[in-house]
Amino acid sequence: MPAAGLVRRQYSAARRSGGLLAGVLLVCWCPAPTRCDRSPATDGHVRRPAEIVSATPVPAGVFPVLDEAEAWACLPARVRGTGTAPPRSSPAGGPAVDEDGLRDPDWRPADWAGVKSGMEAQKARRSRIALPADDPATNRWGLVGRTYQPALASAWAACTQAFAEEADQDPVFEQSVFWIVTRTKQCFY
Amino acid sequence: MGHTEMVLAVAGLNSAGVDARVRRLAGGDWSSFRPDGRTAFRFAHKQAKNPAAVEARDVRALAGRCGPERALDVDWWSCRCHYMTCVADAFQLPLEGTNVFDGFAPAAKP
Repeated sequence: MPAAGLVRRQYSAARRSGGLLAGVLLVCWCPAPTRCDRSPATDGHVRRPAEIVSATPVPAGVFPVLDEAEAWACLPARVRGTGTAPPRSSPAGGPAVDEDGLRDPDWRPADWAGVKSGMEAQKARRSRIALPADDPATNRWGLVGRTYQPALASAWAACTQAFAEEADQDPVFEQSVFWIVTRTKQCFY
Repeated sequence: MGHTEMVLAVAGLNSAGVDARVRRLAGGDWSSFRPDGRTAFRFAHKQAKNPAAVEARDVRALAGRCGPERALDVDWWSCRCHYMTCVADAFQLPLEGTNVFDGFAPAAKP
């Protein structure tokens, strides 16, 4: 399944709607996100941030607006990459899975109604951070990242897209993993 | 959870398909999934619940079922999910009322 295509389209959607997948994961890689290595990216594998950066205006005078070259330069060389992803090999056959399911007393499989009601309640939750003006179709996670940490948002998006292209995971499987993580942490967003 | 269901809806599943998929996941009995999927789900759950509890044998099991590169894919993706969830929870971002991924189905492979 074409995960990369999906992610690209999500980025395109976010770009048009003013949001963007964003984040701070790259803080680990880039402790000084505004001024890092300024050497230009030379490989053509990872898409440049300009292709995925949202056009969302940042509140004037609040946060520095970094251009795409600066955002891109924040990525260390090993992330910008010079090679290609290795092919995914077949499993060699590891330890047997001794359980088909999950044994977690916190999971409460029967609480299906609670899961659905939790998601509805989450829509009315009040954010702890001021949300920029948006339209109902805007991804708020991306919008917050784009507004408050635009450079990191660009780097995050570039990293995510590179992963999507290289891994090319089945999007249904991918989102199933994501669902399990959110369910485990009781995150209804 | 809301966003994952939104993306499932644009990843090829209709409404009933999303509901069925999520119910299977929520039920905790994952025997109907492929062995590599089950192992990945268990890994993601363990990592999300207690990252420090992940051991070498968990990674070995994942690699054994999925292959070493794909195991790294699952590990990376699980970390990413974990991180994004932390951000959403920390800021208490309210779930959007509409599917913010709507209309952007995966592109066909050339």
